[in-house]
Order: sequence, then C-alpha cells, then structure tokens
Amino acid sequence: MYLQEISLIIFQVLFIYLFFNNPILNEKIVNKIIKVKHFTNVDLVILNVIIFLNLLILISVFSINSTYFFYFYILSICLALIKNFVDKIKINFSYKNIIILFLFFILSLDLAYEIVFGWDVQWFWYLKALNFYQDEDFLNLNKLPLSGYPHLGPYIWGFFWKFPFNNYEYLGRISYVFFYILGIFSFSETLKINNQLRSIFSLFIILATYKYKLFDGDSDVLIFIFLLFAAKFVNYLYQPEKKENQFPIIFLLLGIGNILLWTKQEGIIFFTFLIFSMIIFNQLISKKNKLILISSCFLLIFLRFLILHMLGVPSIDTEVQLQADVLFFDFNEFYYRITNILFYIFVYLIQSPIYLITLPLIVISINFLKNDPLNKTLLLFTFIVLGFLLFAYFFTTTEVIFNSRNSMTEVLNGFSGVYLLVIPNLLNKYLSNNKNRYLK
Amino acid sequence: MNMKKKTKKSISILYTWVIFFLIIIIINNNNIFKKTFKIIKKENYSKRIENVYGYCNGPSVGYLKFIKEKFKLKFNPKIINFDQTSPSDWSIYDLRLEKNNNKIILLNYKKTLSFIFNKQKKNEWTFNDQIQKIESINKIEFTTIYNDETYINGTLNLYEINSRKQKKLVYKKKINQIINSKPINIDFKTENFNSYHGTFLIEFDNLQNNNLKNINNIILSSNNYFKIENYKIINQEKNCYYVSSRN
Repeated sequence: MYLQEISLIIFQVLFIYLFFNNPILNEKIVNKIIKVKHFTNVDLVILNVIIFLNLLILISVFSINSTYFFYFYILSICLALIKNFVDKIKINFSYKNIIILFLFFILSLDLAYEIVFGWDVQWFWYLKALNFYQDEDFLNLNKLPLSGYPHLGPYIWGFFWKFPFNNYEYLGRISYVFFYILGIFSFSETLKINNQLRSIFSLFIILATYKYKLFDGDSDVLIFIFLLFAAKFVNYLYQPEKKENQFPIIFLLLGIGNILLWTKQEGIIFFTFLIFSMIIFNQLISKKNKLILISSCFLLIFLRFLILHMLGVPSIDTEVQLQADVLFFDFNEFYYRITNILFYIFVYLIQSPIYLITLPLIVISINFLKNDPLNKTLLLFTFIVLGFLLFAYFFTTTEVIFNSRNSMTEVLNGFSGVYLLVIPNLLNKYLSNNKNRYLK
Repeated sequence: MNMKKKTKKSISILYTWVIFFLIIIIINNNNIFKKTFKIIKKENYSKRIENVYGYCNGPSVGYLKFIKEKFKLKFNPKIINFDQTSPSDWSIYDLRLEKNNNKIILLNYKKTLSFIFNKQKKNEWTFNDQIQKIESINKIEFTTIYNDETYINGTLNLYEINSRKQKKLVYKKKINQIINSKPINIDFKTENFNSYHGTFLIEFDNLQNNNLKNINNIILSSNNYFKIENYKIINQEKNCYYVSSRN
C-alpha cells in the first residue's frame, strides 16, 4: 500500500486551496484600499493569486530566498485570518467551493498518476523548475537550455514542489490545476444566471477542455488560464454598473499582463491584442484610463527587457531567431507557406471544443449584436490574432508544416479562453431582452 | 406562491443532479477510480516512472535512476541515448553537481545501428523516423518475400526527402548480384544520412530486370560512432551501459 503518496496529494490539494482561498486582502480591506465594490469571493481569490504571482516574479528575478518568502506569506495569511476573525468576516464555504475542491482533488489524482512530461518539458521546462526547486540563482538559468524563455511557470512549479512537503515533482504542477479550475469557475461568474447553472457551465468547460497533456509541465496552459482571468475583468469593463471600479480593474489587468509577460512570450502578445481591441471599442473607459492601460503595457514590456538586460539574461529565446533567409521567397514558396498555415489553423480550430462552440456563436452574434462593443472587440481581436499567426508562422526559420504541427495547437488553445466571452455576451443580452419583454 | 417555490426547489434539485452527473462523467472519462486504486495498491512513483519512460528502452529513465542510486553519483554523468526519444537527462540531473564527461551512461546502445526501409510501392522503400549522429553507411541488406533468391541489376539510390517532397541524393550504388544471400558491404562515409524532419527514400533505376516485386524490406546499417571497447564497462543491463573512459 502506498498510502503516503495519496495522503501527500490530499494535503497538497488542501494546502494550495487554503493558501489562495484565504484572501490576504479581505472584502473590507479591498473596499478600503482600492475602493472596489461588487467583487465576488472568487475575484478576491484571483486578486490574491495575481498579487502572489507578481511577488514570485520579484523574488525569483532578484534571487530572494524562497524559504523566507514562503514563511513570510504564510505569516501574512495567518495575520489576515486573525484580522478577518476580528472583523467578523465569515469564512466563505459554499457548495461551489466544495465542487471546486473536489474537482481540484480528482484532477490532481489524474495528474499524479499520469506523470508523463512533454518533449519540451524534458528538454528545458523541467530543468528550469529544478533550478528553483534546488534554490539555484535566477542567473543560473543562463546555464540551462533556452535560457531566454520566460521562467514564471517553472518557478510556480518549483515553488509548490518544494513547499510545503518537498517531495514528488508533480506536487508543484498541482498548482496549475488549481489555477485552471479557479479560472473557469471565475469566468462562469460573467454569466448572469444562478450559481448552480454557473457550476454546470464550468463543468461543461472542464469536460470539454481538460486533458492531462495540459498539465505535463509546459507553461501553455497558464496562458489559457491567465487570459481567462483577463477575459473576466475585460468583461467587467463593459458593464456600466462596474464603471466605478474601472481603475482597480485596470490595475488588476496590468497585474495579469505582467504575469503573462513572465510566463510565455506569446502570452503578453495576445494580452496586448486583447487590450488594444478593447480600448478601441470600449467607450465606457475614459481616455485617461485607456492611456494608462496601453502605456503601462508597454512599460511592463520595457521593464522586463531592462531588468533582463541589466542581469545579463537573454530576453528572447536565442536559439530560435529570425534569420535573413526566411525573407527570401518566391511565389510558390509564398503559396506553400500561406496555404499550409491556413490549413493547420483550420484543422486545429475544429479540433478544439471551445472554438467549435464559440466561433459559430461569434458568427451568429455578428447578426444579433451588430453594435455591441464587446462583440466588435472580439472581432478585431480575431483579425489581429489571425494576422499575427500568419506573420509568425510565415517568417519562421523552422519548416512551416513541422512548426505548425508542433506548436499551433498550444498557441490556439492559449487564447481560446478569450473567445468564451461571446457566451456571456450573447446569453446576458438574450436574458435581459427577454426579461424586458416579460416586464412589458 | 407555494407552487412557485416548489417548482424552484425541484429545478434546484434537478441542477444538483446535473452537477453530480457531470462530475461523475469527468471522473469516469479520466479513469480516476482506477488510477487512485493503482496509486494506492500497485504502482508507486518509481514504478509509474518506469512504466512511462521504460527501464532500458526508450528514454530508459528506470536505468538512469538505478545507476544514480546504486553508484551514489556525486556528479552529472554524460548520457547518450541511441534511440530516437525525448531527452532523459532531466531524470537524474542535479544542478548542484558538476558534470563529468568521463563517466558515460549509454542507453539502447548497439554496435551496429539498423534502419529498416519499408516497402511503399513497387520501386519505393521509405524510412520515416529521425536519424541522428550517423557518420557512415556500412551495409545494405535485403529481405525478400519467401526468401527466394533474387537477382538485381540496377542502381540503388538513397534520397533524403524534405517536407516539401523535394528529393536530395545521398548515396547511389550499382548493384549486379543476388541480393538476399548476404549483406552488401559498402563502408560509405557520410554526414548526410541524418535528418530531424525528413524522410529517407530508396529507389532503383537503370534496371535490367524486373525482380523488385520480390524485395520486402531494405535495411541500411551503420557502425556506431561510439566504440564501447575503448571504455571500461562499470555496469551493463541489456543494451544500457554505465562506462568510464580508460584514462
């Protein structure tokens, strides 16, 4: 009997759940400091995840001992719990929390059993996680393969691998499962339906998207999760009743942008496309806030380049660079590359359940939500992303078919969460129209 | 009012059942009960690692872990895997230790590496896997249907085919003999019989007779660039070796 392993999984699941589910910033503090109202409990958990991950970026880049940080954070949680007790804030544990915790446990069991790593994980992601697990310096990444790849994903893995139980490597990857479930349940709150129906929606999304491969150690799933976090807050910015929260939400979005920037290069690219599409069509955001949002995005990108430059770490992947010979091509070559890229985009789109549902809905919404700003945002986002994909895969040093087969599924899945926005957009409009009709 | 409350309650119960069934579907789709049972009863972490990555086959992580434990390695040995699999260095790599290139773990080592070209059409045999670190082609063998004696008079051409189906000649050999009695030794030095994305193709031309239909597979063999006899063998299990340089 190997009960030790199963008990470790249970304790790790409970630890990660409690670690993030006891917000350091409770509702009262949030209302006081950043004056946010109408934030749900899940929003507060996400707020804590964003704060925690941004702190992780700082302590990893500046090579601060993770053990000190861990105890400091645990202490902060304890103090927050005491503060909550003093403030008489009830511990929120609804049936939704039970579903989240249970799903977290069963998907963690799946992850623990499967253990297979993807090729890239065996090549470099695992070694990056090991670097942090073994308390090696940030600069030590320079000695490992693909040192220019962002490191936040493996750092999270290494952190929860080491803390609190310091045992099997997959205990670290279990944290990805928590973020995944949290992201989906959080997104379901954009639907103006009751909590049970939201849970059903979340379970359908998990049923459609979950596969072990997402959690094989590659950081691609984190792009999906963090863009899903971002999509929810983007949705908030289209709601007039949340207008008073605009600045804090923008601040949160920038926090997510920073996390994406340090997670994977394409993450920040898709995030910037989403923000750009939003500021063009969202008239609820003031010009000042639009300016803050877009300039801060570029500032974050610049800061990352500056920090990495100062530390002497490559800021982009040095082993896969644009070479001059990809610019020389004749018509046949142009036709070959474009047709293959479009073919593989089509093939991988129809293989993804999210796109299979959301793309037809987008087509429907063109007709039904003609002047809807969120719908226009999604359409612009689609055009920009399509243009980017064509450009990126066209000018690649690796052979087009090989490259498309190896990476396109992950890239498309990465930003698929953004397209889920079409569901609340259509459904909420439909429900509100029907309600009005009923009231009349 | 009471009716409305009742309906609401039954809808709520219905939703709860839907949630319950969806969770059951997720559990069932991912075989969670079976996996939990296996984790508890049968397969500990090391066993699962060995099941996935093999002991001395494929990435051979089982053998690497065995060597690390048995010899209590205080350095990172050099690892060479002669199978075309994902890298397995990660499984025993310790960033706090130095590399030692004098201690080498050879996985799936064979003195001769064989590449079997499968028949596709009457005059077309292909090999579709990666080929790496090959420095020569040393032998050509033919397997024939029913082992019939087969005489060929023509030129064998070995091509590399890239993903755009463009052919590049790697090697050609005039053959005028019975092909299935013994291998044809050639000892051809080349760096071109290596490919990460491509496919290799064998075709015949200038044929003087029509015996190609008898040929089943064509096997090209290369001597391994790593000469194990120059090293001291510390441990061996099947085709996996832990060796040390003699100086």
